[in-house]
Amino acid sequence: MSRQPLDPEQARRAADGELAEGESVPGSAADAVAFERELRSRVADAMRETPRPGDLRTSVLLHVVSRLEEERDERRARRIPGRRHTLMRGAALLCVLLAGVGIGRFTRVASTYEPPMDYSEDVEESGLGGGLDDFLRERFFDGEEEAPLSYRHLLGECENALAATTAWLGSLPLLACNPDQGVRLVGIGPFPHPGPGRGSLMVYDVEFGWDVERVTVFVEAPSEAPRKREEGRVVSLNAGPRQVLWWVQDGLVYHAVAESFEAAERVVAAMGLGPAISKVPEIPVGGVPK
Amino acid sequence: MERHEFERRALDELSAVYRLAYHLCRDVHEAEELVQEVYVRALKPSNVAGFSPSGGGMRSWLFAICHNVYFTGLERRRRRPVARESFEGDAAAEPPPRDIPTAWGRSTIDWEEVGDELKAAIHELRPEYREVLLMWSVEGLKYREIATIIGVPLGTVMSRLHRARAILAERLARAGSSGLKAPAAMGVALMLGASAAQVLLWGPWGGQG
Repeated sequence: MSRQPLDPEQARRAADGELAEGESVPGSAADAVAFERELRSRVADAMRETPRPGDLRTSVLLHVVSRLEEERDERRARRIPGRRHTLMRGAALLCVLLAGVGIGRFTRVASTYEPPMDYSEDVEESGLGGGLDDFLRERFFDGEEEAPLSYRHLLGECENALAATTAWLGSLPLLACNPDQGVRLVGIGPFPHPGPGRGSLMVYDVEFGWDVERVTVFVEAPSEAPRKREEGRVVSLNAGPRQVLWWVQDGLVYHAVAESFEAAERVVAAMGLGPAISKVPEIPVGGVPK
Repeated sequence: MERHEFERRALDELSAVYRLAYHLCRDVHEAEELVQEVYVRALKPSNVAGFSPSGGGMRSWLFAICHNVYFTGLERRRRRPVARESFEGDAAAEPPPRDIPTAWGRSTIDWEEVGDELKAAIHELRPEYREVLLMWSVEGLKYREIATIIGVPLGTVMSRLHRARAILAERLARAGSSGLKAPAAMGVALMLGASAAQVLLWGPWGGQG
């Protein structure tokens, strides 16, 4: 009895379940097909495990933030000369039109143009003098809509925030967060602490089933011993009231700001930090206590 | 899809994308950089807006970006002059596979024993072979899905897989040659061999085919 020849590629396709309709392989190819199936399984095992860098997720996020911010700045930089060019042309036209009015007046008109502030200047002006509440309001809750507390926004102006924060905190409790707990770090950035102390902020997403609530944790290292805070301190924001948990540990002052206590408490638990000293009560209907 | 949801889903695929990047680069740090670049491209606002969940889903889409970034970079590097040894070494690393793998005498392979050899053999394959191997084995993708991701004809995927598997099988056969029973291997070859060349190669019994 003659044996039907087998095309090796056909045997492989048979092992992979990729034979065309109506195509079949001879029974004598059983060993070959079995070998190829076993090979596939072994190759998968061999390729599945790979050495990984330390905190891949954080490094990728930091890189993405940095690059997207760079590109945004480049786009801005390209636009600004364009605006200036347009302005100059407009000014030249104005010169012609207002020639009779006088050069002095033209100078006053031109001097009203101010190029947009650099973002870092903006941050400095809004954050340094205002303290936590103003900083929150002006940076992250701009207008009626809650501005995205995204890592892009947070990290843009400070590529080295992670390294700097790690350096002065000694370690980052946030990096120990377990994603299985439904709490994940999405951003870290500098927090311009009023006065000579230092500060950083971290942003987490806390999952509640399909919903995700965002929690911002501010860490301050005040130059003096932290003073006792009064009960009932609230943050009143354009986007609505926010609950604040705050606590002191190892000389550092932490504030967790969130829409709900539950989210803030889950972050605290995930960070493995001590219990909060103070809870800010729910905002009463009809008014925001100051 | 909302941006936040998009980011979450993209980051859920981080491990899979890293695995592909690692097997392309064969270096942890290079793989990390590749993944960073993949996500920079993936999370650009224009890409987020243009993403459609159809056509293979998020993982396939990220794989396609990873493929493009890696091979574009590789092509750029190849345009630069390279040392003769490395150029020749690249070609020499790929022996032409024999049509009928001697390793098809399955009972003669001790898979546990050749595990390290298999890893080494995969490691030495060309990146385009490692890429399709990973998608085929770990991800369990069909030929057509792989072809869509890497942007080549279906036949190219089949050819790469065929050659990669033939190379691996040959390596395994050599590694396990101490336990390889010649009659068994020949028997498989006899059953499968049909062409005149195979008859000449494998002996007079091949004529029965």
